[in-house]
Amino acid sequence: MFKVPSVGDSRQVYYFRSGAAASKLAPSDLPLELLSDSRVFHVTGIFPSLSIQNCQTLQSPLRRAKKSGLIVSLDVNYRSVLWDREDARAVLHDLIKYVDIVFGDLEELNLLLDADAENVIDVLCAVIDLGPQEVILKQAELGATAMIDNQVWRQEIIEACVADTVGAGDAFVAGYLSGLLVGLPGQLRLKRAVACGALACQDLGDWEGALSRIELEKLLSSLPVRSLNEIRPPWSGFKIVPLVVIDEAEHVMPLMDALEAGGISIIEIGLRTPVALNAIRMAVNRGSFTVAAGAL
Amino acid sequence: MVSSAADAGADFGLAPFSPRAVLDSAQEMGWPFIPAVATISEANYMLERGLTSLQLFPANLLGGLRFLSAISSVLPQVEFLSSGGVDESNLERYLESSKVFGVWGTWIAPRQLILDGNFEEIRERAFRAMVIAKRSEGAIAK
Repeated sequence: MFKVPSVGDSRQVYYFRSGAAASKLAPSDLPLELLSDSRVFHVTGIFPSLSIQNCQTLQSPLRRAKKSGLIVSLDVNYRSVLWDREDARAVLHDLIKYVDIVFGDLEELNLLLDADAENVIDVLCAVIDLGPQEVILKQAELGATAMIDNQVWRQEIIEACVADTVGAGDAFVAGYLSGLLVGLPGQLRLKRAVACGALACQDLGDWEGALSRIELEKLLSSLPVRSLNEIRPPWSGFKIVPLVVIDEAEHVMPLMDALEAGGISIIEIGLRTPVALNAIRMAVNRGSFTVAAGAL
Repeated sequence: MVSSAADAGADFGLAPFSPRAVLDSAQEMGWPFIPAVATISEANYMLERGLTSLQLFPANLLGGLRFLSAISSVLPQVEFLSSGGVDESNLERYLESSKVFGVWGTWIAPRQLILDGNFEEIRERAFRAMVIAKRSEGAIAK
């Protein structure tokens, strides 16, 4: 890939990828054993676009990742010079059944949906209907909007001095997935993603603008987070909410199982006991529940 | 408190009363929060802060639905969750109000039932509550 230094707003990138080593990978070339102690398997739309062989090569790590309980993440990363929309849609549609997290801009998500929708929430919901639990819409200078476990989060852009936007998309995804690995909640993963994407724009290279994790945390904590406006409040749609006080952490799981069996998937845990915060963590990690902290 | 609850991963927060410091830190963090109010002036203050989903507490003691519709007549943009004194006997009436977005309460999983490990009873109470909720949705749809 060659980048021509940008003049004003124009930027040119040339790909010389056909016949490149990456287009000839066979499943046997992949170090699949790496999957055994990994938690996330990330793939972008570039790899299968390079050759038919690559589309097949992807199948075995994807199956294996899914089987081993890894989180599978896909950045649509559509490049019209590498393949046309129909080919891309066919291949990506085939992959989506393995995917837990999808990243893309509005055009890319529409490509996945074979649609031309403009309403962000509609698009996010439609992608979720394809199977993933999280979909993250990259909106360049508008920041990003994500639907994570049925909640919508919005993150405004973080100001950056733009030198070169190449690499911002990958940095965005890296920020999000690294946040996932350290256990950040959805909205903070999104914030980290937007910050990493913005920082990558400040340097000419793809990764040279990256900060160390400590520098990043420092930057994030100094940023006003109020730019995080949720669009649909997390409590919407819940008519009945049980308020609970937890005295023993061991009660959390059987309690939530019982509520779930009764048809309830939301819980408010009152911060009234020493184990309450821990109980909230357990409830969040259990999944499939909306969790509220009460008695703040 | 707010930041530790958000850090623990809670999707949002509530409180039976809402000190300004709690509101400030939730709003600064962009963490969704449902403040509690007991008067029309308090509800109006929350509106001024951009908060339209409020908690009426203690709902029943304040006059329940009648008080709720009084607030709504002055501040129509506000919606409420009702908590305090709500149980199976009056649940349906609250759910039928267009100004109530949710009914919250301890009757489904009271502290003592949890301590006793009586999760079967909790499951049944959850189920009964959901049946009432579904029935009232049907009633509204009609």
